[in-house]
Amino acid sequence: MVLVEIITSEGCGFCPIAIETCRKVVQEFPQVQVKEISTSTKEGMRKSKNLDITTVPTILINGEIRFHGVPRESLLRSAIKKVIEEEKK
Amino acid sequence: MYDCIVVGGGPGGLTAGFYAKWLGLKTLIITDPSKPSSLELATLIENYPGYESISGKGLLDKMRSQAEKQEVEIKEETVTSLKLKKDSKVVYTNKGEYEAKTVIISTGAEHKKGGIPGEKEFIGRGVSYCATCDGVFFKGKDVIVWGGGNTALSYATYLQNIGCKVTLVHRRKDFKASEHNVNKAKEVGVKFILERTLKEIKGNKLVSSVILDDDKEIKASAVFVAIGEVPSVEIIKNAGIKVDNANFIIVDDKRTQETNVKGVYAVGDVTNTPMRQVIVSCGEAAIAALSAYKKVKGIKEG
Repeated sequence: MVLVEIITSEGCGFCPIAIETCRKVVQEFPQVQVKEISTSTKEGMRKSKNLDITTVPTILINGEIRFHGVPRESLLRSAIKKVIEEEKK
Repeated sequence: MYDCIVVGGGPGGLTAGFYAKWLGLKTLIITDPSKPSSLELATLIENYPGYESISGKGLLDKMRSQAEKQEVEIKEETVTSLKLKKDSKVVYTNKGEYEAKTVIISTGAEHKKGGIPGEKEFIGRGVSYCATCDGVFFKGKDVIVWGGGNTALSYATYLQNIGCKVTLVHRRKDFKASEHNVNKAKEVGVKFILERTLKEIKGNKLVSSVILDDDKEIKASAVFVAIGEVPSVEIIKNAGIKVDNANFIIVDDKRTQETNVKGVYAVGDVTNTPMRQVIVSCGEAAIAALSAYKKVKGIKEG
């Protein structure tokens, strides 16, 4: 399984756009799940601290930072495909 | 054919759409889903009548809800070009094309970049243009706010209030920001370095310091850049709408908000308005909607 995580914060105007983009692209991949993690939660702050995340939205794929800001659909699609290919190996 | 197409979904665009529909015009608002309004990123609005204090997003949500109640048609699409003829204005988007008798442009402005070494390299690693988005990561840490306008001062106050240790660096002695915002920043304990600007942002993996133009180095974990705004006007310029040297749309007649192209109006931060405030955008939007109404109905100005 591939997991796309979106780190968000409450005052972030770009975060809803990032969430929508991720949800839209992930629909094309049944084996991929999306999870939104807010920095207002302990999990969000812990993850941000561990990965040196200092901006939102930040997109992680299987725990690795892949994008800061709202990703282009095509780039997100390619990144997900790459991870799926790597998992097959 | 629509009577009026409004390009932009910020406070100016929503107000223009609301007023145009309220006046009885067949109206469409086209808002770019990939670009949030700068109001949406604002920390706190305290100068919009009727609300002593409200978040930027909260105020924008109320405006959108009011427009939706008025049953204004809103499409979330990206405008790619405009074809502006005397009796027909065509707005092309990534999903289709829409024709109208009048167009109101309210596409706002984006954060200006400082263009100094380290700024681009550390975006997302300590350089930020949005205090409400990223401030939370720097609680208890030294941060720099760069700028002297209302955005910079409200960022500084917000960041200090959530627990950051804020130093504001501003190139002049006086502020473009309101006295209210300057006093508020002072009251909460923001430190000021005036008549200085940033020369470089330094760090390794993350931002660790800034260099001022007198070569003094200051420790900082983040730099919030708020040195002004620039409009995105390529589409507008290509359509023949005149802009000034700073790329803001020229609106000479404040009684109509009309641009150099007849039947095309512009409002808010995208124009050469003397005051970039939510209330000004909304006021200009109401005037533009009335002008569009007069144009559609063939009523002469006067």
